[in-house]
Formats: sequence, C-alpha cells, structure tokens
Amino acid sequence: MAASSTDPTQQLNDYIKTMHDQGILDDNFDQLLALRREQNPRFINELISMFTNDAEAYIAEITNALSLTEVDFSTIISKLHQLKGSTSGIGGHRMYQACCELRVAADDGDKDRCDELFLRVKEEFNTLKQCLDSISQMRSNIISNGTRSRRRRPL
Amino acid sequence: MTPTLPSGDQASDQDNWDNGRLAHKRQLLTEIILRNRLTALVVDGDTTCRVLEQLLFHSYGVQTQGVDNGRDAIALIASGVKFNLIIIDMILSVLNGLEATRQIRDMGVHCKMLGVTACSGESERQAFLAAGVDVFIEKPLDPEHLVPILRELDGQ
Repeated sequence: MAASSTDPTQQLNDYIKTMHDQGILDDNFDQLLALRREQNPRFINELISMFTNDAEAYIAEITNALSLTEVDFSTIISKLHQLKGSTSGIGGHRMYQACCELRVAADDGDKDRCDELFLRVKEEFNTLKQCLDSISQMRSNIISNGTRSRRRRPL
Repeated sequence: MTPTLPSGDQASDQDNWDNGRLAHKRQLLTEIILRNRLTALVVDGDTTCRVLEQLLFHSYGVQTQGVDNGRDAIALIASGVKFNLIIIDMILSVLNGLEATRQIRDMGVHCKMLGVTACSGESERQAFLAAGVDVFIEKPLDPEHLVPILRELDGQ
C-alpha cells in the first residue's frame, strides 16, 4: 500500500479527487473553490453549513408532504425544486441525479415511486453531507494551522 | 447565516492549495474586466443559490441586490431601483417567477433578464421565454454563460 501524503493540503486535494471519481461531487464544486480565492478563507465552510441546514429543512418538508393522506405533490415539487437547485450549486452530482428522478415521479403523482426515490435522495444527501463535513474539517485544520504559523513568525 | 462578503485581502495565504481542475474555472473568473459599473438583481428563493449567484457577480465587480420572492422583486423595481441585469428563478414563493417576470416587463423594464432555474424541461424553457426572460439557463449559473452576457452589457 502506497504511503498517503501527510501534507494536509495534498490530503484535501486527494479527497476531493476521490469524491469526483465516485460521482459524489462534480465540476460545480470546483466553481465554488475558484470563487473561494476571492472571498474569506471560511467561505466554503460557511456555504457548506448553509447548504446542509437548508437541505435538511427541505427534506423534512418533503417528508411531511409525502406522509399526508392526500399527498401534497405541489409542496414536494416546490421544495424539491429548491433542493435540486442548491444541490447543483454545491456540486452534489449523485444527489442531484436522485432529485431529478424524484421530480419525475412527483410530476406523475406516483406516491409509491416517490417514496422509493425519496429514500435514495436521503441516502445520497447523507453521503454528500459526510463528504462536505470532511472537507470542512480538513479546511478548518488547514486554516488554523496557517493561523498558528503566522503567529510564530517573528515581528 | 449568510457567508460574509469581505474584501480580497482577507484571503488566507496559507489556504493556497490548488489542483488542475481549478485552473480553467479560475481563468474564467478573471478573464473579464468590466469598464462600467454594472448592477444585478438576484431573485431566488433558495439561500445557497442566491448567495452563490451574488458571489459570482461580485467576483466580476458587479454590484447586486438579492431577494427571495417575486413580490419583493416587483416592489424593489417599483421603488425606482434600476438594474442592468435581473436573474430570476421560476419557482418562487408569494409570486412565482413566471408571473413576476411578466409584471416586470409590463412595468416597462427592458433590461436583460436571465431565467436561471433548476427546471430543465422544454416546456419550462418555452414558458419562461414567453413570460419575458431573454435567456433560459439551467442551474447553476456559471461563468461560461455569464461572461459573454457581462461583456455585452459592458459594451465590449
């Protein structure tokens, strides 16, 4: 087994590449990283936190709409639209695909298929959330190591 | 919580990792310099999308305002605020994107309008264009679509 890099930056690069290879992230995540250089160093972490909080809220609302005796497909479509949009913006490729499939089922008013496909959306969200949380943690470590280095510099 | 939008000197010099994928994306972010001060209105009900779109505009030096529903967009425009560009999503709360677009055009607003939405069907595209947007873009808004439009607005 090849020795893994101990450089935190390289570890982060390698991790993101792996997420790309597995289809969890796509080029839209790279676009965030390109924006990162123009913004504060914690921008990516804040955006990830915003996305996951809002996604959890959308998922809760879709869960509720699906659980009604008379399924509220209108709410499902509305919340799924926003979930799909934010997922595409963050670069969550597999989750985005799962949302697209669920949208078709919701448009058809097919509750059974919605239930099945919504399970997949939630699974992909959990996978994406773990991935993004790992990226956030690695970035926090890089940023805090950088802060400690700057403090050690002589005045 | 909305990520803060600080000046560029807050970028960390320790956070300088890169990989080959970013080179092309970063090039697109820097390949345009606007001569004029442009303004954009971003109308999107999802916070992540709205923040991302506004940040993308900021990276080109475009000043933006963001609202999360069609009614607030109408009210802002009716108050006299002018924009060079309006980005609007199709599904919005209070007043949906299609109706908001129609009302904005009925108010005599002729600026460039981009329908940027997660809907990708041909019927949605036709409906948004019929309502009055000039361009239909499937989310996410990206530099490949935006840069030519900004060049056009800037008279380049």
